Amino acid sequence: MKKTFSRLLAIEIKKAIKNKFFIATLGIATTFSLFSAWYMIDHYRFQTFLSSIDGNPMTNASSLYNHWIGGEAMSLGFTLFFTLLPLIAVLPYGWSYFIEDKNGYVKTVVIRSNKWQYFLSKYLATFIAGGLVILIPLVVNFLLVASFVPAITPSMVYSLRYPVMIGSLWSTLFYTYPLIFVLLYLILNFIFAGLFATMSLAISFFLRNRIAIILTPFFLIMTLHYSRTFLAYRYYNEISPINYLHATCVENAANAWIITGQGLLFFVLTFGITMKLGVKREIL
Amino acid sequence: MKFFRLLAYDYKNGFRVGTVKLLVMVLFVVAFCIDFYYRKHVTYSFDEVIPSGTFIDYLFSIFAGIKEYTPSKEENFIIPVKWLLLHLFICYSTLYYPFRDLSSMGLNILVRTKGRLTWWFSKCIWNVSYVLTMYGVILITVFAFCLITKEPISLNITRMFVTDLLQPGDIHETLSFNLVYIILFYPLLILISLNLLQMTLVLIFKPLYSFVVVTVIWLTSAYLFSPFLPGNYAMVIRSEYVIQKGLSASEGMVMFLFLVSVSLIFGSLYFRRYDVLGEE
Repeated sequence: MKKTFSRLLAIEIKKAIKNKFFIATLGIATTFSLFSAWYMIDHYRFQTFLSSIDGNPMTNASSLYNHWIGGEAMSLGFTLFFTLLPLIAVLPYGWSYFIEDKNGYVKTVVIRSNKWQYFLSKYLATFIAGGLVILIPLVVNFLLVASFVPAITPSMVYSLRYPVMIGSLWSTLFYTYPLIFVLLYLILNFIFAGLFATMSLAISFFLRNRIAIILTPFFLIMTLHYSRTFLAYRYYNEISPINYLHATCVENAANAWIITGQGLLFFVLTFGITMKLGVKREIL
Repeated sequence: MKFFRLLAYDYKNGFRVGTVKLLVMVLFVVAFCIDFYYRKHVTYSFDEVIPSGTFIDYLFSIFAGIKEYTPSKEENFIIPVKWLLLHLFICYSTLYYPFRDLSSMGLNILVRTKGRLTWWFSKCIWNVSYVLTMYGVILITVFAFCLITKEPISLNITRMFVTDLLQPGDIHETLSFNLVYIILFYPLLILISLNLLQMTLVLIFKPLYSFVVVTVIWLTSAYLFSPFLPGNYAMVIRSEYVIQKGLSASEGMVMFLFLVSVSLIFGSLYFRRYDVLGEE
């Protein structure tokens, strides 16, 4: 039984990361992250040149931690990558159940294993593909920027240059062990991107339109992002994943409870719907 | 005759597919109006009377966009989510029907009409009509909101709201009446042109990636203040009638005509040799 599941999972993961949509989307996301790296490395060199001419060189004001894509919020690459993150995560494999259900592939798999195994492996593969398509460009960007910009520990003296506010998620780590802070944010991005991808899997049970299945999570997250406007001047914690998945604060401080709460809600909804409706659904 | 029958078919089926989206658009516009109403109340809460917002003020707030962004470490780029959500939702609404028709009934219809161009132009007219309908829904919803909240239905722009709530930057001392035409027509023209462009791109990239391309165009337009990026003309606060060095309306018209011509000409040429069987 276990062997069947592990084989099914291996097949699903292989399908998820060895398809043309994964490659194309990874290419697009990496291009955005490279745009950011190119812009920020150039920006760093320009600043270094300016400070070499005259005055305080402000060595601690510029470091890897405010030049990689998760630490800067000023380049076009950052704008495209983080705004489109919920869409990029879904594109590689979020549509797969809908297609497999339509062309009858599900039936051939379910009669060789069972529905529970099929949907669990589908959920995990979708999660991993969505997570990887976001994680890889972030890592590429971080390594590329690290090749040109020194990894100086951020200083509170230049708080305008390092917008990680007091009380913000892992803020103490940012000013002491910034590399661990970045690693934790990479994991957070992987998890949320995976959850966005599985949203489309859950939506596949309700909609019969491939485009809607893929774009609905993006519009839901954008609507959540817009809903912040009604909290203006009332609440100062970040509720939008588009903003809090960025390692430094874009507008408001990232709150650990809100992020955990939203993450759990997304997980319970996506996993619950996929496993409950999937197992209940008459496939044969 | 065949063309008009095909167009009637597209209207019937295309609008049936898109009815729910029209309702979602109503919800979005109501939220945008409440947003403006609420911001007005918060900003002028210390005034004796909260100033009324006219019909055109509400429309202005919906299509305003953001002022030019100058990249700096001290100021983050904030996405104009209201403006973006509205335009992307309209682009999404026109994305599905032509593609679905081509991959289902479209083949039989292509054979019966004996002309690919007839099919293509019918879809283009449906696309423009759907965007016009969406736009009509926006206008009607704002109108109804103003009636319900007893806000004046007029075309007088309140300059105070532009400076305090929309914050365009280097604003003119007085706002010309021409700005009303910009608010009413330019976002619509750019929407029509980018929707046609998206429909043409679907032939090359497939629907989802063409949506990504169009989204990148909208986002890049918000980020870069440039006459070569069409989305800038759909941001009313970047117009020459609002700010000193704003974008010219005539250049906007050229951009509209250029995009529409490119989409129609390239789309029809490409579709003549397009492998429709591959879409089955």
